[in-house]
Amino acid sequence: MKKYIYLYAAFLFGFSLYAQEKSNGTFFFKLDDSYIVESKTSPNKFLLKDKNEDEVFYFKGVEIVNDLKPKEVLCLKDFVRTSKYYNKNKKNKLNNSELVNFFSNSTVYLVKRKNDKTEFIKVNPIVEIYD
Amino acid sequence: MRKITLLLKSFTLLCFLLLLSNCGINEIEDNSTASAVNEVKNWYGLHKNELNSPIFEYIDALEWENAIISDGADGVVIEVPFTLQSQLQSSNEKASLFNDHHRLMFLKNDQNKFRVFYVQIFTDSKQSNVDNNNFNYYNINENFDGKVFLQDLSNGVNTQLQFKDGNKVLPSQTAKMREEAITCVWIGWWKEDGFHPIQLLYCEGGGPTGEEDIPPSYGGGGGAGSNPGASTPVKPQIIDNLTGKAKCLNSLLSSNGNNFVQNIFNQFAGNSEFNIQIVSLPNVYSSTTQEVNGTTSFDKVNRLITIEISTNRLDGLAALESARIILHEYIHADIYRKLNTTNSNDIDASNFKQVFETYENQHNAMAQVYLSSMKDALKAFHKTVLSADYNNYTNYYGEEPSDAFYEAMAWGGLKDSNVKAWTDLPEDKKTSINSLASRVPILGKTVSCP
Repeated sequence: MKKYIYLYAAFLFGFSLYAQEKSNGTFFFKLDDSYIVESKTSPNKFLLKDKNEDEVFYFKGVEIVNDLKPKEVLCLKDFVRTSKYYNKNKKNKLNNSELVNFFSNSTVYLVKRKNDKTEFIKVNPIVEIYD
Repeated sequence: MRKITLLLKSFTLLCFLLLLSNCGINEIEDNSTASAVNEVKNWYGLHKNELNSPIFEYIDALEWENAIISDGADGVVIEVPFTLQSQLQSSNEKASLFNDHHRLMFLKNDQNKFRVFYVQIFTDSKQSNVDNNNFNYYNINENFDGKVFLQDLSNGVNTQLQFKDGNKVLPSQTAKMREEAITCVWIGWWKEDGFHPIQLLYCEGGGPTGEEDIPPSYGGGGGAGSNPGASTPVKPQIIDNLTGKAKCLNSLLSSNGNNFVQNIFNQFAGNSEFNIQIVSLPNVYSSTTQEVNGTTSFDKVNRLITIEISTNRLDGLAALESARIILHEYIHADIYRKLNTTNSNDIDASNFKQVFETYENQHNAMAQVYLSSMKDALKAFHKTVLSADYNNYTNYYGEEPSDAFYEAMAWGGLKDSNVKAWTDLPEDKKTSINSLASRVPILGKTVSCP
């Protein structure tokens, strides 16, 4: 019987390791309109100032949470521009599909200060193409 | 005196017996109610995965303990209220639907199974409210002004019912008025400056469709005879929330498109890895707030591709050009599918992925890979589906539309973004394409659906 319990525990541990490997972790990014701004035509669409010609990468707000305590709030501009998903020498500087892959395996919150309160907007990465 | 005492004793005994008898009835009712709720709860536990609606992503918890049970001509109906996760609510884009109430409604059918509906109740004014317990399938509050939406979770049929002073208001019988009455319901947040939608739940259509599986009539019961606002059933994999001309053309493309078009639609049928949600919006904008014909977006987390089509733009364009725009967006969806599929047996997608980098972007890839198929698809659709328009063109120009004409159409949405495939063309070819494309606006704008 003990043997089965150990096997079961080992299976759960293995599964948990696998789940951790898949996730890139949780990121908190500052939302202050300097690099990431909410669309004027589509609420809850948070656009980056860096964008490609005919396809845009953005974050879509899916949930507002109020009581989180992030260890660190990052600057998205620094994060993107120092990543392998940005190439300043290319016409289309962002690698949209890889950005989506990365953030799809992460939990991302945009941190907004509003009336002395901090709002955490949970977001999903999206790519969109026009016409 | 003894007689009076005896009378009083008898009266007291009678009251006591009556009291006992009342308690007995309540207990029986409570037991029967609990049993009905338990039966539904067990059934739901077993069949939840067969029900399909975006709302399931947002349900906080079903309040089985507050289930509303009513009985009448259509049998016992059980409605289970629920709220949405983390402050989310629902309304329409105009933010004119207030005080959303959400319920799952269970109706038992002859086979001892349940038909399940997602019920949303809204009031017309912010100040009004719905008395939860007295508002049910068989009974509407006397002064209720608002709307009730029913979504049949087995087949996706949506029904909208409007009430004034607790009475059902019949929809307008004119097509124009029906179009104006179409409502799309969104999940979102109410903030100080109004409602901020984030996820489309569904859109409502106009009059009866003649479909066999007519949903019941909420508010006073009355069975399945009346169906004042049902829209066409949708396949779960392609969630069709289009309206008007776009809905008609999408339906014609889906049923009468050539093999190329059918193949694209089939990629999203059955147990597809990705779902498509195609929706009409009054206006669609680019990230630089420029009005555009349509957009296609990919949400990898939810494996959902969303196509937005501008009603404003399509209304002013030729029917064939509108079909071209819808097809163009479906091709974007197909490209997202190919680039993101995890199915290693999909040779076509694997080959496309390998060469995609060389195209630089989607529009150039579309011009290089799909242009010829688009040309053939537009030609077949014009000739066989929009045949009156095809004949009008022939009579007007004294010649049948050439392949070059359809190729010029297919360049729409591609050449304007100056893709490499376009800039590499010789100048005389570009001039010829532009000249033929100038004929597109003379094509007919209207399209009739059966």
